[in-house]
Amino acid sequence: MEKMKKLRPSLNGIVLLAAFLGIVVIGTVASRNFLTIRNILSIFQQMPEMGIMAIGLTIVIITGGNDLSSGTTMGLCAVISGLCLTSGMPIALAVLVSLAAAVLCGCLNAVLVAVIGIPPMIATLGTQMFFYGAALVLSKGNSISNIPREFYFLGQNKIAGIPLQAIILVLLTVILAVVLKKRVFGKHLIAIGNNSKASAYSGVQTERVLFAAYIICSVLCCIAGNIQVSRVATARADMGYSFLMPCISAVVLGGTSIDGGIGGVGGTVVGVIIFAMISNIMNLAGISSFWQQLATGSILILVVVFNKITENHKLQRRKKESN
Amino acid sequence: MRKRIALLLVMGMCAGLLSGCGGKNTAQESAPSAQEEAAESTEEEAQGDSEGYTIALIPQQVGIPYFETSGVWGQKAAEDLGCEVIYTGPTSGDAASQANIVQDMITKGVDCVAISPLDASAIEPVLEQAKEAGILVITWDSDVNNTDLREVYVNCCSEQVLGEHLMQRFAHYMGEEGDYAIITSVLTAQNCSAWAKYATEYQEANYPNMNRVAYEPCDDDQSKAYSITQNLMTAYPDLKGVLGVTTPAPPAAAQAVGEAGRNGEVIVSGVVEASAAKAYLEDGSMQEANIWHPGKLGYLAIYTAKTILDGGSIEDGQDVPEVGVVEVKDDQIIMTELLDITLENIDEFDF
Repeated sequence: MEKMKKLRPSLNGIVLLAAFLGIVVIGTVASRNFLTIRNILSIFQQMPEMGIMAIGLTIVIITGGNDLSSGTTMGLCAVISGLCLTSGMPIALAVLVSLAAAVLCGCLNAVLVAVIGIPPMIATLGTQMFFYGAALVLSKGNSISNIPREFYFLGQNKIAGIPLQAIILVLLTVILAVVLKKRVFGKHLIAIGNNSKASAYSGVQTERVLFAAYIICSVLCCIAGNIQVSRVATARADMGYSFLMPCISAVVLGGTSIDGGIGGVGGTVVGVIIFAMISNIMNLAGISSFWQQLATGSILILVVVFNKITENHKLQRRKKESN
Repeated sequence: MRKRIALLLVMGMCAGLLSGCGGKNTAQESAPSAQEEAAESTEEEAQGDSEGYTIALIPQQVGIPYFETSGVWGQKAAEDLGCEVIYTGPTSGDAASQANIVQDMITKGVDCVAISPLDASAIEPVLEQAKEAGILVITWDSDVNNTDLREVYVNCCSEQVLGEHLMQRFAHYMGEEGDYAIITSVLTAQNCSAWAKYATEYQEANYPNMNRVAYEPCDDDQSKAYSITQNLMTAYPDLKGVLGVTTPAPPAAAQAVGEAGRNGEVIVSGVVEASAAKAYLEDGSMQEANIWHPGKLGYLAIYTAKTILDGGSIEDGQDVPEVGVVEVKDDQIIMTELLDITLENIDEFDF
């Protein structure tokens, strides 16, 4: 019995791992190029941007919120960073300016959600358009090229053969995982997601915690934006725009409840890797991009349905036990 | 007991997931199975000898009629020429995901990447990688900033040919006389400005009774092109025609003319896709749409790739099968054939 209790919480994890391994097997069968070091490295060069944004989003979703503006925050920060870089500003300063902009974006979201009390979906839907508009105005709708070569290190360099952005993703994931599991702040995030009113009554400073959550999310989007600017040597207002839905899907796939209160960043990263592998396999096998959406959708539905079934199962069992 | 149930569940789920994925896999296999096998066999062959090249035809975005037409014709070229074409691109207009696809194509080890870059600079780092990997890179439909990265650019049409052709067709409907206006995209758009320039020069040389009264940029915004046309009709009551040299302009001008009840009195033609022109050609507010054939452009891209991989080159004035005569200028291969889309033949075009 004791063993069972320890096993139970990781059930979602097992399913995720099974899905992960299943896809690796399919990939290996579908293309002999899949399980090569070159390909694995290129996956880890492509997915960290989405991974970093998704772990930021996980933090917000755990509080029962959502940040629909995360994709456009990434675009706005990319444009700001790109403008600063091309104006001849030192690299460190340019990145700092974009990070400052990200903090402002996070604050705006938090003010709307935590102080004024607008539902997160609506508040961040507004800021989504606002940030995108700001990015378009700043870039005049053009793509900003001629990014100085010295900035390429962030998205194109490798340390001991591993892409730098993959290392950044791992570091950020570990930090956030520790914060969520071991720190009071992490427990507060989860408590707010479980029951915001109850946690406020029990002394959690919900406003402050939510501010931190939205700012963390925006800052991570900004980091993702800077990495992408460096990787493709261009800044565009629409960068990250198409990341939002895959990121939310990866968060859910990773076992974080969209209602908040349950979840973690590790699962999210696995979710993002699964999505990245699917599109990689399809490209390697020469299968049309239309199938990618279909495959991604089916995996998501399968895992979410399984999570729901096990959850219901648990509830029933608890009812029986209490009877 | 519970432990066993939980275990069973997990096992079942694993099997379910695998068979689910497997199910999808078989579904994929049943549809593009031939393609997949062919891909694998070419992968193997590519190592041995030079037969059966694999060419990646990458559009700016999949799911858009214009590029889907290029894709269909690209596959047709593959059949005709005996090579393998992988038509794949981003499902959204995301420049970074197009770069990812190119990277995957490098890993796959294709012989050629033929790309229509979504962003003229964002694609450059990966094209550099492709070049380093010894893959032939060509661009089609639109070009990259750094032209050293690609071997040739397959251009949809010569600026002069299109500009003059636009004016010939437009003047035909105008009766070669009267006031007219040109609506362009932005004044800095190199291609549209060139089309407008050649059109105007051709008019000045050949149709002295025609008079250009306005040359306005619409910023590629259909609603702006619409209000520009309305204003032009007010400002110049004798205006007899509007020529749009950017795709949003002709439909917008036609809409404004139609709403003013002046169909046929004010002539509308210009560069626009068949699908966008259809409704206006049918209600008589637009007379003609002139554009290159996106399918032939895809065909020419594959034909060019195959020729270069074989060690040959395309010659100026060469008559390419299915495509027609092409012009070669420096490192550009330019299509010269244009479509005149009218009410009579609109149903032949699906882009």
